[in-house]
Amino acid sequence: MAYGGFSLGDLISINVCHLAGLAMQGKIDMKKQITKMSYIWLALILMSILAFGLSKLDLIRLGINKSYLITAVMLLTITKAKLITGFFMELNSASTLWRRSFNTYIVIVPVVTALAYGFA
Amino acid sequence: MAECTGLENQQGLIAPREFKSLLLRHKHRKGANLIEISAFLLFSILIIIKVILAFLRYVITRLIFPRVNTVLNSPMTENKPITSTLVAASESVSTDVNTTRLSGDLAVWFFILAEVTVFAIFFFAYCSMYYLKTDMFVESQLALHPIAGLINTIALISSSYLVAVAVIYAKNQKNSHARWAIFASLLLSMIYVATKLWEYNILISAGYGLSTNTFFMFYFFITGFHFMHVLLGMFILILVYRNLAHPEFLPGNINTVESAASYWHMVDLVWVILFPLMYVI
Repeated sequence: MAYGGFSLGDLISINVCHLAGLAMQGKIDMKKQITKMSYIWLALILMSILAFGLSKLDLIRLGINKSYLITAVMLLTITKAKLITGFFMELNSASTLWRRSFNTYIVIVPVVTALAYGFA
Repeated sequence: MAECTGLENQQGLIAPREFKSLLLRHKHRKGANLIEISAFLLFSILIIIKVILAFLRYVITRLIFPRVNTVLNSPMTENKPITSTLVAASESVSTDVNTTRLSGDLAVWFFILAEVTVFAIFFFAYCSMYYLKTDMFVESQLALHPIAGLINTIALISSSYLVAVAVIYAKNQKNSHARWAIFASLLLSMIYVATKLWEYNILISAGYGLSTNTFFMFYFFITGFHFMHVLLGMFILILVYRNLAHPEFLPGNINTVESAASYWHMVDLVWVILFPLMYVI
C-alpha cells in the first residue's frame, strides 16, 4: 500500500511526530508563560515593598517634599495595576475597548487620589 | 464675672461663654450635617448606578449580544476528537498572535466593570473626605497597622499569581497541576482573611468602629466590602477546584476557569489601589 512513494505507516508516523512536536512545543510555551508570570509576580512584590518602604521614610529629616512621595507611590500603583490587568487578566490580548477601559480606570483613580492628597 | 471670649473686639460687648460655645456647637453641627447628607447622597447615587449597571449588563449580555456568548462557548462545548483539537490548537497558535480575545465570559467582564466602578466611586468619596478633613484622616490612619496591609498585599498578589499559573495549566489540560495552584492560592487568601480579621479585632477592641469618625466609617465600609468580595472569590475558586477533579471538565469549560480567575484578579487589583490609599500615604 503506497501512495506516490509514501506508505500508510509513513503517514501515521508523520502525524504522530507532528502531534508529539506540538505537545513538546506546547510544553515549552507553557514553561515560558509560567516563567514570565513569575517575573511579573516578583516585580509586583518588590514594588509593594518599595512603596511601603517609601512611606516609612522620615521626610522632614531628609528634607523631601511629601508630594514627591505621593507621586512615587501612585506611579508604583499604576505600574502594578497595569501589570495585573495586562498579564494576569490577559487584557493585553483583549480588544482595544476593554484594554482602554481598564487603562483609564487604573490611571484616573490613582491620579485623583494623588491630587486629593497633594492639595490637602 | 464674664470671661473674655474674643467677641468683644467685633461687637464691643462681652458675650457670655455659653453663648459662644453654643454658637460654635451650632456651626460644628451644621457642618457635620452637611457631610452626613452629602455622604448619604453619594451612597444613594452609588446604589442607583449599581442597579443601572446591573440592568445594562443583563440587557447587553442577554438581549443585545446573546450570540457572542454562544459563539465564545460553542467551540469548547463540542466533543471533538483529540487529534482535531490538537491540530486546531496548533493552527490557533500560529494565527491567534494578532487576534484579540477576552479571557473568560463577556457577562463576567461586565460584572467586573460594574464592580470596579463601584470601588472607584468609594475611592473618590474617600479622597474628597480626606481633602476636607485631612487632620482627622491623618490622625486616624496612625491607628492602622501598615504591616498587616503589606502582608495582605503580598498574600493577594501571590494568590493572584498562582491563579494565573492555574489558568496556564488549565489551558494545557493539566488538571492536577491547576488544582494544586488553586489550592495554594486558596491557602494564601486564607492568610489575607486571617490578617484582616486580626486587624478588625484589634481596632474594635481599641474602641474604633463605623461610628467613630468619617475615616473609620470609610475604612470599615470599603475594606469590609472588599473582604466580602474576597470571600466570594474564594467560594468561586473552591468550586473551580472541585470541578477540576473531573477529567472531562477542562476541554469544554476553560472559559469558566478564566472567568473565575478574572474575578480573582479584579479583587487583587482593587486591593492594590486600596493599600496605598489607606496604609501608605
